Amino acid sequence: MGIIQAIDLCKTYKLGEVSIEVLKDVNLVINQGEFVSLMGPSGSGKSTLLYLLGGLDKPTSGSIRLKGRELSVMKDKEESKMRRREIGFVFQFYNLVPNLNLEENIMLPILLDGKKLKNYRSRLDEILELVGLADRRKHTPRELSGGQQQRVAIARALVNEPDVILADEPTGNLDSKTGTEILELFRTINKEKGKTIVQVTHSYEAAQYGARVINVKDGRVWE
Amino acid sequence: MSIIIKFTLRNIREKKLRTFLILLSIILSSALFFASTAISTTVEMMILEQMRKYIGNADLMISAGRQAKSGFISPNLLDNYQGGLKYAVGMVHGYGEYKAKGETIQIRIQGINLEDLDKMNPIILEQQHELSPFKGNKAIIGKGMAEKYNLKPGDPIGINMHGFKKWFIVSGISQPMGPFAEDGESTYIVVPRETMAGLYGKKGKVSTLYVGLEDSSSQDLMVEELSKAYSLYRVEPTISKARIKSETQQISAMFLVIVAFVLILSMFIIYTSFKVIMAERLPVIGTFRSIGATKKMTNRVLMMESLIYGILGGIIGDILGISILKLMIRQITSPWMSNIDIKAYYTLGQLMMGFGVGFVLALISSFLPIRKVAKIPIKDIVLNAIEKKVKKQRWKTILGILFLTIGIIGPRIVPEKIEIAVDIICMFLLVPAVVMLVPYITNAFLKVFQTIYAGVFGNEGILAAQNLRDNKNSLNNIILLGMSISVLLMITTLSQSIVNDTVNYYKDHKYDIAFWSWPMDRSTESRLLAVDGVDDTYGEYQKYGKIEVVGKNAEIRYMLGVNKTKTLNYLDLDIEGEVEKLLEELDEGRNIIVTNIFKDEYGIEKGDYLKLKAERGILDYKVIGFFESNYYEGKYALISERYLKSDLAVKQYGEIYIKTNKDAEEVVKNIQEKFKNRNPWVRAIKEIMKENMESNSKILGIFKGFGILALVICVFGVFNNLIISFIDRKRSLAIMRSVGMNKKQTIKMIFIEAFTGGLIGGLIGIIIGLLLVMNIYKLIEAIGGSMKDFIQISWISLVVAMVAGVVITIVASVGPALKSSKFNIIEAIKYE
Repeated sequence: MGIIQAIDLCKTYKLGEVSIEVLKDVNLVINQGEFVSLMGPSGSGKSTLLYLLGGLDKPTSGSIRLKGRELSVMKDKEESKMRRREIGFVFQFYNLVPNLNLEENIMLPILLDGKKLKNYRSRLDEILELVGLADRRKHTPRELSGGQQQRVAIARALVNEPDVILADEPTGNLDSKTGTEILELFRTINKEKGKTIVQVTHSYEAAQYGARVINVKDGRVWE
Repeated sequence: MSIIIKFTLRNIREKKLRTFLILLSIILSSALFFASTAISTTVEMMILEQMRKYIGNADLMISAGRQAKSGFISPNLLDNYQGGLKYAVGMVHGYGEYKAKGETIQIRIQGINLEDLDKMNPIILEQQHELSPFKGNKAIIGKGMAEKYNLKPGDPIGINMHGFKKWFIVSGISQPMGPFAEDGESTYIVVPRETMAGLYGKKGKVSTLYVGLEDSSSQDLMVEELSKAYSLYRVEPTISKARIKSETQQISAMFLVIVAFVLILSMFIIYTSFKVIMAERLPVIGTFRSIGATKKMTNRVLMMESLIYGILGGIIGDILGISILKLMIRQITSPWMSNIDIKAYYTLGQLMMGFGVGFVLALISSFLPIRKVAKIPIKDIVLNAIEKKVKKQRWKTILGILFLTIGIIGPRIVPEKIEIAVDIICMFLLVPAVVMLVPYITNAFLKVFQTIYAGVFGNEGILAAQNLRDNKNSLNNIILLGMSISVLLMITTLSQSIVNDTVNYYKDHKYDIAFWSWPMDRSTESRLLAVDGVDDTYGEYQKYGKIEVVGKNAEIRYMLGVNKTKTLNYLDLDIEGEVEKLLEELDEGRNIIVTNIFKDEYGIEKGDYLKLKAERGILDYKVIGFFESNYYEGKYALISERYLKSDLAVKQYGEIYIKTNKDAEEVVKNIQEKFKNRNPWVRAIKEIMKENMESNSKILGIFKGFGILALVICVFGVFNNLIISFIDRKRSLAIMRSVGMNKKQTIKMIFIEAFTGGLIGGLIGIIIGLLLVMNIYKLIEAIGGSMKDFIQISWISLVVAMVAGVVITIVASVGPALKSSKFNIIEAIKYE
């Protein structure tokens, strides 16, 4: 049994009178410690699949299991806790809170988990070292470059030591050099920390960083 | 052009809450400004109408002088006077009682010839019965009285006068005009002049001569001329229009100070609303510009919107202003006028000004945001590449600190000559000062709160405090709350201070009843002592009126004759030093004690001589001491009773004070019964105090009403800001949800933010409020008043201010909090 399991997953959106089937009977198993790339063109349903796997959206039918627990039956409180502790999200546009500084952004999951910040100081230092931003800790997102902002997002995703990192086009908004740096960082995290990483990308080069590439097109997946 | 208007109207229609908020701010500003300026005109007209009822169109009145043996003069006094007079008619006044239908009404009687009445205060008779010749026991009554008591022409009416009943025949019933105009208070009858004079045993004489002038504007000049020509008589203007105008303008000025704060508040709301409008319209402006529209054209589109708000708000504001004016008049007029139709008097100019305030307010407040957008290069608008980086503007901080320093220190160091103007400017400088410093003050508070919140609210508390930092919408809310709460607090504190002043004033009175009825002599005092319940009396000699201090360009408006054995038993005079010794000294010669205000104003020292222009000539009075009092703006002095009587020719008591050994109200009734034929003025002190407080509370009620309206504008402003804030922050909230914040935590965080915003808003409101009160106290001192003894900051008001701030923001947060738990995280997180 994998760390993430999708069984007969379907997702339909309603656009006015029209129903659009974004995902059609998707079955997928992702194992602990894997670096998986979900690859496909725009509108293929890859981001929707990622959000469903992370519990940010609900499937129309089918089920998703994270570490053996069924996501679709979870209540808001339980689901939020799972997002805090088991998953770390990284988005294409970084999604940092603009009025919080770098440290505060990284520590958000800790704060939301009701933990005392002072107990996580050394963890913060360690992560900042890992993402190479130890000297920018008091800066706000506005004062950082795109690549630096994405490193902050990765640090935030790692701070609570989740087993799974879900990344939606993490290099989509970056130049190729910075993009490569970010992907290298993901590879390091995967290799050294043993984290399971699922990234969504439409770039062939980026997809190759994953040990496994899953193709998504017209709502269906194959390898 | 029609497309531009359509586009603008569609924008206005689409954002209903914002349109409502902007219009509400403009409407209330216009309405309150109009009502505040027009109230002086209305009160002036009401006073004039009230007085005209009695004196018609007469400009001057002449009566017997102080030295006259009787209070009557010849009606032909001015027959030989040349020039400037339209008429001079004599009248004999009288009072009486009329009993009918089980009630007794006070009647004011005018003894005047009909042809004279026609010149001075014309009436139109509806019915008459053998009216000519108007002689003997004929009387004209008003239609109101005739209808109320079912009186018809030819009916007899008995009037109790001076202890006997005089019978008249109703010979005419007048329309409600002239002396018969309805005012809900007094009832008049007109009888032949000679009949009335005969009742006083003064046939051929009149009590007052009323003079109409060819040119009413020469009133003051004619008073001077006639006073010289007839120096044995007292010549006075019937109505001093200049004095009424200056007094009524003071009422307007008081209201306008509050309105100024409402205007600032409105300006801030419209300015912030237009900033949001600009942010929303940027893409459309970009499209317009990219297809060839000039800057001027896009500016016109945007200005058109504020123009529409200004015009609509100005017109509706004027309409609402008329209703507010009527409400204000109803509030400040006496209860006996409550059954009379309140007429609001205003000029076209005042209406235009009310409209203009709304119009200009809309244009000015929207101009800055519009100009800012006009400066953005077209490429940046189209590419959405506008620099969003918030720069901390140091000049704002420096200016804020400068304004605050000037606002606080200014009134304390300013030279006397420009004190009033500087005090007002400093008062208004405090507002922009605090607005500019609010981000720093807020951050300072947040640092403290963040630590406390960690313990009280947990990590959501820390997050809430972090979110409020440098959050523009929250800062706007704090500014709005701060300004409106401070205005309300200032009004409440001043109101309470005025109430305290009234109470303090009567604390100085150590007697139970005040009495006045002509003649005010020893026989009257003896009669009073015989009334059941009267324990002791004190006839106070006083001189009210201008007494010139020669060579000092000063005047004393009230002089009290001190009786060394009695005065202090009845009045609490705050004399400095050994009081008994000073009173002894006062009695020894021409000595005087003046107020500390008078001392400071004219630089007087002990031992100085004041040259008083008294009835006996210019006399030297030696200053032997000082006392604390702000009555008559400090133009109040004490001399010995002996010298007041001899030098200032005071022959009668000004008032008689009574101490009772029974319930004061009961004794008042006993006195009224004993003196019923003399129509005495007799009031229990407690009653006077109650009436004064009621009358004060009415005007203060309007002030509070203005303050509450400011708070209403603020509440809508806060609602608007919180909605905008929610829209702006939707993405941030979604990010937090994506990293594991649950719905309950989100709602908790939003409410803690609201609570904190309200708390800081309340605290800032209290800070500005207290600074404003301090400056107003300086302003009152500059005007000539003194409030230092009784300005009291009510702790309850402060707590209420804080609670109000918190409640407003929490209630306004309910909608955004509920919305936050329902939105779709993915939709909110996506970038368009």
